Amino acid sequence: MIENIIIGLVVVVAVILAIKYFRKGGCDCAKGCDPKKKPPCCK
Amino acid sequence: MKEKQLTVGLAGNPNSGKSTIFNALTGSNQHTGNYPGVTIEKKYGHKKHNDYSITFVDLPGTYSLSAYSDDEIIARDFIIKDKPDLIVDVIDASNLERNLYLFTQIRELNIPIVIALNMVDILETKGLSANVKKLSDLLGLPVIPIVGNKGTGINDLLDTITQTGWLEHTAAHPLAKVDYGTDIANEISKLEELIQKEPSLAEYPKTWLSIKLLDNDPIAIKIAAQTLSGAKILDQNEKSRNHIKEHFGESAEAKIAEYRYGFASSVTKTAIEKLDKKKIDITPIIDRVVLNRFLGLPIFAAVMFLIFAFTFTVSTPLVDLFEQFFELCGTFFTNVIPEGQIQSLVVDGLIGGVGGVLSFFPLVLFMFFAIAFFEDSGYMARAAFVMDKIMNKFGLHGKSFLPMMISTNGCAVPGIMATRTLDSKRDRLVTMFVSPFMICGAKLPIFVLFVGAFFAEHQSTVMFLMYVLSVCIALTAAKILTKTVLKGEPAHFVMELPPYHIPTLKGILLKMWERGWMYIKKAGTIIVLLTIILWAGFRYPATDEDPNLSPDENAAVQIEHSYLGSLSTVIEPLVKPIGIDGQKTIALIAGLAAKEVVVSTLGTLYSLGEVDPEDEEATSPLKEKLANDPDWSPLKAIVFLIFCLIYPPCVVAVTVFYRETGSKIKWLLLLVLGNTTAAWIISFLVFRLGTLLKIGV
Repeated sequence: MIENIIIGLVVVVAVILAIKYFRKGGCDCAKGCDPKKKPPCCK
Repeated sequence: MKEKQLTVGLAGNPNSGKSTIFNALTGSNQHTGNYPGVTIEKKYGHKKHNDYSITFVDLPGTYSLSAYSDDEIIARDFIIKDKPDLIVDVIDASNLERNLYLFTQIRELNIPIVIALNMVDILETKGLSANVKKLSDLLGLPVIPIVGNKGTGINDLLDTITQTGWLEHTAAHPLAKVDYGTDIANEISKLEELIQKEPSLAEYPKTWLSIKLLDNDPIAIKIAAQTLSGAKILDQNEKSRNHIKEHFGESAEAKIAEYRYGFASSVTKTAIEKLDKKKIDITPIIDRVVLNRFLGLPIFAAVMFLIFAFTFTVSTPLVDLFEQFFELCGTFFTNVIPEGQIQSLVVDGLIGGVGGVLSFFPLVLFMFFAIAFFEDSGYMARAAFVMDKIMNKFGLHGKSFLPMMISTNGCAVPGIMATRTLDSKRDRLVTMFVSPFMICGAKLPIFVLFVGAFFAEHQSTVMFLMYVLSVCIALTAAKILTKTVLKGEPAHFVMELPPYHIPTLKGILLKMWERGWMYIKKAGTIIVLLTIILWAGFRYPATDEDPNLSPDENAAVQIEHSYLGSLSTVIEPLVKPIGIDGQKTIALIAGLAAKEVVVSTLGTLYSLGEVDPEDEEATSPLKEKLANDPDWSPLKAIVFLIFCLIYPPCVVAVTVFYRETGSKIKWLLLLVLGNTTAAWIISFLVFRLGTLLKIGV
């Protein structure tokens, strides 16, 4: 039971973070170029 | 003492070494390349020097400040609207005349300029030298000789930028400008007078706007048309243009360009001197071979093959080591964590999935190393030249090769963005459609996994053939698009071939690490998250174990009855005709989020299917599990890879595609539905033909 609750929480957090990731624009390349973060794919 | 602020724009021709100087000035690691079009967006960097806090802005490389391509508009909008304190015009000394053409236009924007005269060493290899003092006197502004890739002259440049009172000095010493002759100058004055009277045009330098109107610049015309006195200004412009045409017998834009080139040419003749001793210039010698009409293409193919042969030969032992490491991790956590869902999440989900992706990290690193070597040497620009003829036959522009190469070297996202360097909208659209067909860094592990599993004996050759296939698919798609929805002829291809130089080890390692780090970062973030979600999808709802079945059989029942298992049953009829079974389709669907997830999903799926830790098979590398699975065959593996090549790119690339195509739904639908349909049809044909001919079944 406790195991399932932990797994449930982990999955919910993963879903929230994944949504956040895509809402931010996805990978660094798509975000544009922030000189402080120096995304490597900035062209 | 309070720091003074300065904003400095870095302008210059493509491949003049702007990004290299930007990196040297700011200590950034922006991507540089020995080919034009590396910078397609503004980039910011900071530097403190002599009590000044300087913000440097790296602008896209342009040959002029017209309004023909997005990168030119970005550069000139920055100068006009953001009003930097000064512009550092990076000039390639070995191509002074052409580079000064851009200078003549920046000059008209009435902004202080410092010339960074780059690549003076290359000029010397041509037996020439630049008389810096003479050039500075002629242009009426500071000229700093620089060798960007060695960092020579960077401090002098910073000193000049922050020199006390130099802005005032510039104001007191008017800069040299192009003499357009009495007739054109009179017409410019007439327009200037009208522009001066229009308050809404106050932000634009009046001489620049007048010349741009005479130049028939569409954006300048639009700016003028939107004002209250727009009709009057445009009417005068029409009269002035007609007058110039009648007087000179050629259009105003041609005459203006002629005067600008005349200025650039006379400055070049005066400032460039011949050296007594000429160094040997290797560039024309190598070019005679690599650009030879018969040898060019075979050499390019050989270079690509060499990249794969090198990558596989060097990385295989390391990939094996990584795989063994993740096997050990799997065994360790199986023994440490009590049996149950958490153990399964860690071992089957995270180690089986993410470990599967990370195992290929050494291969990705070596691949990037090899590509960076050829990129920095100057060869890749030649590759675009060699490919131009073929590209043209398929309706693509020669420059399209570069975005395709950027997609191959790293990611389709910067590849799509790099199409901004293409002047024609049609060429841009076609290139945006075909760039995602290339095997990007994220698709690479899928290909390496399947090639390693089913064609272990000939990995380099099969990988090379897969790359050739990706190019063929991209070319065919371009041909279909240009014969149907994007009809028209590609614009003429003019591209500068940079001189060859031996790449620095630091430069290559830096690039290799930057791209490699991106791979790790992605594996450690979004791929972990998606793997957890997909693992749960295959693991829930949990079914009760049947004591009459073996652990493996129970695991298979669990997957079949899970959420994703049920979904795969629904999809199965669609993918069965192309030889892919339903559960594996989940990997393809998950791959739409990020292509590496195809590998991690297969890793999780196979780990879940083999639950007995005593069974050696359970902890073996994923490629062995695939090779030993009777559901797979070499033919099915090829069909799976072909499907991966053609079906829509990841969601981030699709979003960027949508944005870059001007948010047009029709292009988005064509990309998503068109690619899915094409992927299915081609996979179906290959599978049926292979089955019929009994090839790889």
